[in-house]
Amino acid sequence: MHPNCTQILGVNRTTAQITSGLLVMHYLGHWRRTDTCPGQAHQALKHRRHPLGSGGPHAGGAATRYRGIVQGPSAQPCHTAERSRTCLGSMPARREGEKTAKSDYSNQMNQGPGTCQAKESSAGANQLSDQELVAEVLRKDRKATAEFVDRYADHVYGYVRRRLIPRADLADDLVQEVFLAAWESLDKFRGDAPLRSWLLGIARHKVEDHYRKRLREIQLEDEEENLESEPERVHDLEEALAKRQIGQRTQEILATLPETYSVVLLWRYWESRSLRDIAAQIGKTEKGVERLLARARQQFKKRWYERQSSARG
Amino acid sequence: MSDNLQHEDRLFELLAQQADEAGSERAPSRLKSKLYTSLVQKQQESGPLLALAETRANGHGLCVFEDLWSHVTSAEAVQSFNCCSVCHARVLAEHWESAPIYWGHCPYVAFGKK
Repeated sequence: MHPNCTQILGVNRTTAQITSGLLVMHYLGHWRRTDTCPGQAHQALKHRRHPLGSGGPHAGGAATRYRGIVQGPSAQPCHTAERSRTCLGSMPARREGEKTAKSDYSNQMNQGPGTCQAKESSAGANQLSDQELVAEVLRKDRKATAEFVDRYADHVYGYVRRRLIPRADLADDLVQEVFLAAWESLDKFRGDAPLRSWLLGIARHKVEDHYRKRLREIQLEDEEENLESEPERVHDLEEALAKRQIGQRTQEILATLPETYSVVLLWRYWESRSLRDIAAQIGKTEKGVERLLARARQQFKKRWYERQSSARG
Repeated sequence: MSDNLQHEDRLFELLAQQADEAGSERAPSRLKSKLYTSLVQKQQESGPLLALAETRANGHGLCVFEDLWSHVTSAEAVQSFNCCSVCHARVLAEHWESAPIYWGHCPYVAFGKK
């Protein structure tokens, strides 16, 4: 038995003190001293005979009840080398007979006292399926709802933020709209496609609503205009594409372009919408959208080369 | 469309494709917290949340407050009460990136984990 556990379970303490001490430790979920291992405290509680004996006034009382609540895989003492990492973590435990197959989120949140971190690596295999998760969210299980957010917010946010350049400040509101819309129609999710794709589909609609609003506000010119042609520089862009060096720079340039230009580029190329489609959605002529797109491309390339030259210079 | 324009069009399609592959961003924990809060609020609009006891029976852990609250009574109004609505952890998490909240089974703690 660990020396600190003996200390914790000192014979001078009453049952009530031991129980309340362990409950406090359980609830606080913090083990500030690396050598005080909750797993071992559990083991101690499990194997040590109560000072008042099994027939004492508290037999089957709070201590037994607590033991009943927190038994399970968490009662494994952790190894010394890992104790300092693990025991500093939260201590919440799992009830006896509870499901063991749970998602990353649940596993992470259900780490029992003294549970070694090595177990965490296998947690991913126990993730709830999309349909199970949806069913639990529809039952209004708040923890499943938290997992739903935790699992998919990154994907939706990343997508929306990239599509809203240069108005990334609008991303938070739009992501919120996506999740609320998802909740409204979650009962229609059939699981034919992954939940992530389903959510991104909603996000795409929201993003296109945003594009539509932005481009409807502007006046497009149908007349021909002479755009500067810079054919020799196209080569630089091709080269960068070949070297796959474009991610960061593209985002930066899109962020500095006038919003109309970014929107039309994103809509046409990132969302793969045809000119006809865009024109129909914003109530403008195809020719007008084409001119706008040409100006946007020209501005994009201009800034691309400026950055290229400043990087070389 | 001229050859030059077609070429440029294709170039930008490739650009979009590659730029998309390169991007991967994490949502701020503040945003996740707000999303969770508003989703739960939305759920409450159409009726009570799943009882805390059932949530626990589903294999999910309850935070210290939910755990204590769930033992008060088995009345539905109590069991379905959203403890987060009156919890300072929620307020902290919604306004502070990686807020200093540490107790177990709190969703706002999980959102802050990298």
